[in-house]
Amino acid sequence: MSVSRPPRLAEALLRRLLPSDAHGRTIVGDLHEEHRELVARHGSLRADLWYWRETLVTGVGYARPGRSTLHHLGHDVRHALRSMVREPGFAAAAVLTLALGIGAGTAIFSVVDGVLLRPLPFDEPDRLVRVWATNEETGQAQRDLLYQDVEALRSGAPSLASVMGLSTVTSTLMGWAMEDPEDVLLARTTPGFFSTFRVDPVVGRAYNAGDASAGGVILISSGLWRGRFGADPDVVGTMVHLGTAGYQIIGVLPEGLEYPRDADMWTPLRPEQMGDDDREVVVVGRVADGVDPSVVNAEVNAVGARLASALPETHDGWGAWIQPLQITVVRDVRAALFALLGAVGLLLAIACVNTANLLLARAARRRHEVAVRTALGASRVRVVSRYMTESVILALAGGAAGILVGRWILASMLAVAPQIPRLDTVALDLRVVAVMGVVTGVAGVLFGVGPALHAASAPPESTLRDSGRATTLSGRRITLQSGLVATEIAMSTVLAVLAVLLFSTFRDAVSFDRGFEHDQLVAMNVEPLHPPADGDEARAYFGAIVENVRALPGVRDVALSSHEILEQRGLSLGVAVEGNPVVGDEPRPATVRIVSGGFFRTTGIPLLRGRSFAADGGPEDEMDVVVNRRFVDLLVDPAQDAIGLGVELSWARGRIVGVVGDVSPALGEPARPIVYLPFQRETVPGMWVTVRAVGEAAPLVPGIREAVHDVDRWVPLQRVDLLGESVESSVAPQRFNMLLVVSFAALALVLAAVGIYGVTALSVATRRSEIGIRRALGASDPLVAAEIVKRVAQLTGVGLAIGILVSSLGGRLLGSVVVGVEPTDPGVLVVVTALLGAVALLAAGIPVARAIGIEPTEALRAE
Amino acid sequence: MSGTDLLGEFERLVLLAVLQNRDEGYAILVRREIERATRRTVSRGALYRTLDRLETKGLVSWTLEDESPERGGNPRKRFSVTPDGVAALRRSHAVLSELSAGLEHLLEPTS
Repeated sequence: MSVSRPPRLAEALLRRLLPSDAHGRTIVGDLHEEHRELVARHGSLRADLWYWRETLVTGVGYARPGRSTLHHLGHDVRHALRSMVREPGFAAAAVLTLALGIGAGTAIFSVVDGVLLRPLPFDEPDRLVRVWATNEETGQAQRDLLYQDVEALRSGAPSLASVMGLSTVTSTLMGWAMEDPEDVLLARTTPGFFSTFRVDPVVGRAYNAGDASAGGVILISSGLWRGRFGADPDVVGTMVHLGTAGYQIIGVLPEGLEYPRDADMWTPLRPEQMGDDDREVVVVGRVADGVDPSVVNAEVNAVGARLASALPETHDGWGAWIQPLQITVVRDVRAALFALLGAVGLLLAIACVNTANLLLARAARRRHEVAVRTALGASRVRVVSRYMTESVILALAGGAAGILVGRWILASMLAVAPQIPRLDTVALDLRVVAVMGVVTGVAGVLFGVGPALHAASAPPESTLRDSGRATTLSGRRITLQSGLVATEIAMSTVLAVLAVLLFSTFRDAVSFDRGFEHDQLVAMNVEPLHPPADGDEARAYFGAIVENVRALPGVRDVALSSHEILEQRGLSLGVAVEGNPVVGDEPRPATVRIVSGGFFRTTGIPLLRGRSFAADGGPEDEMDVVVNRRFVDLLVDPAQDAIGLGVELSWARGRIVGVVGDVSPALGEPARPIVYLPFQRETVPGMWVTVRAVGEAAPLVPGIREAVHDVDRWVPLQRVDLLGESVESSVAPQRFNMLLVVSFAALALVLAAVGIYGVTALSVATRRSEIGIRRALGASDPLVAAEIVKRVAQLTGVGLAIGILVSSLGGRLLGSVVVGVEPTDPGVLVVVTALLGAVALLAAGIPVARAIGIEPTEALRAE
Repeated sequence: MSGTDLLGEFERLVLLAVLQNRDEGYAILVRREIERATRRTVSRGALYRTLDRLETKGLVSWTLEDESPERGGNPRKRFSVTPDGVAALRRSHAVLSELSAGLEHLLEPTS
């Protein structure tokens, strides 16, 4: 019969936990015997599991005999606190390191949890999908749809239980007597909105297909209900104005179940709005129960293909596909947040390694004390428990401080954070604290157990014999510590490289050229309550406003335009360009903007070729038109000069007199082809007054308002846009990410510096007498310093090499997640290497100075 | 130790179980005996600690048997109750009897 043995590791652990005398050995023997019997009865797997359990229960249980151990524990805690007071630098370094790592982790984890991981608040949110239009020719993958597509999807994709489409517009909400104007975001939806999101109003009712044709009904958000109507339950039936149109409030949507989240009001889409040919309709569907998403995608693809062949004018080249709504809601921040989470994970790992290193270093300093205690009869359990108590107390302090730091970081993040979707659901909740508690506990045990077992296993005789004339550290420990520091440097390198890469990506998104000079520019929407009767009246009305505003001090230039300059929407019309072989006589869609002559000068949109409009708008039968570069690229035959070509609009003719630059609202978003028509010839009822200031634009706003009211005292002037601020807030997410990434990298560098300092200082301290002897024998300061620096340089070199290797892989991975990250370029590596090298030398500086300061006589006398 | 100290409940169980094993008992057998009688699981750590304590009080003594291969080369302790231990049990028993007198109708198991 083969001899059955208990698991060796468990047995070894049991022997460690129990006293090594006859008594302890009889307990080990008892368990051995019972294990044998269990193997015979139940097989070795069950017996081994039993043995492991008993090892932990008996080993720990036996070592915890009530009062005396509590007494020991109290003693250990007091000892730990005393030694923290005795070495405040060490305690502060360990607690601070952990607090920073855990704090940053808590904050970012809270954001990721709230924004990405928590499901959307709707019923069965995983069945909600967003439908996108895609165009392979132009490379657009995520465009919105046309209104008629919603109906096509409802009939053509039966696996979608319901489908809805919506588009949003900014509008001015006023009371029935046109009082208390405020800007609101209005969502115009198809009736499928309520069945798709499974939302019922908390007050009043939803609208249906009947309301859609009648119009004039509106639902409001809970926020608006509370803020404007004091949560009045009788709000249903209240009449309000949106701009000049009257609406009746029929209900209130529940808190948190708004879609889109920032919308204030919802109204049925009226059929006449369906003809709009802008791809601006957000389409969301609910997948029917038991249907696989891939089936839905196939159906949606098929609908897209059918539309493309049935309606080539609007759908040629376009297809359709679906994506889970959860992903699309946060699509802009998803990649960045995951990248940040990775960065913060690295930071936490660095903090843990750093703490382990500090504890190891201290264990080395303490080995004499431990040896004395062991020689005087302290059991292994007592030695180990004393170490563990200390490290657990440090970890707990670090964890507690970390959660405080995390709360602070999170609060400051939320204070400066831009409009990240779902950010309002972010909180430092119990789950996050629980996760961090586990991290802290594990960290405490891990940091403690290594040094503790190490200390307990050292034979006291040899330590005591050596310690009187100890000159160098044991090889094993210095290898372990150097390994840890090299690891730390490697991780810091990775973090720094990734930070530089992310930083440059975000910077590109922040500082790209938008095609106009946005600073010192303010635009104000002037939408008269009584629109001018005809073009002449409009020109007189707006002309008077322009003259009034121009007369204000601090105004450099004023111009009019039918749309705000960054506005993406616009009247899209078929435009035929003379002699264009690409499309022949077929009109191609271009966006039409009506602007006054000084518009390009005022906004700083560069005139690339030709001229702006003539003062009268050009010849009577052929008005002057200006087009943008994108228009030329798409609609003009490359062999021809755009200037002088005739363009045919559905109602008028024009001739191109100038080409201006493109305006691009976001990095990577293609500009639209735009044709600018002279305000002298074409007018719309409401215009934007764009003003360039001599200095700051914001102080001019009250004056401009007054100047407009001098012409028309009733016109509501709610929509005022400081373009510098708009641009700034549109890139705020990127700016915010830049700030975070740089902060993390800086923290990592600080932690790496602490690690290098710790190891170098320890090695100098333990080699004090050796250095003293060498100096007594004539070693010069530079020689002593050079030797220490060489060691630091070696460690840094190894860490850097590993770090660069890993980050070149990481950079590639990152490139697949975050658009725009270039594979590691040598410049980045040079910067990071120089940075870490400088940090390493700086960290080694103090210990080197200390080594040079060692007086040979003193060092030898201390022996 | 003071002769008037009373035994704890678990101490009394351990002493009785050692006696039941007639000086042959070692920890495994003692534990099984108690588990059989009480129909409850006995914590191994608690048993070893109690045996330690009884030994310190002089109520049990033990002999160390030679190391054997089926015990992984570890020795075995066989416990026996000392005269002091028997005396302590008697005292404890007497106190119980005195306190139970006249309560038999409550304490005897009903059939």
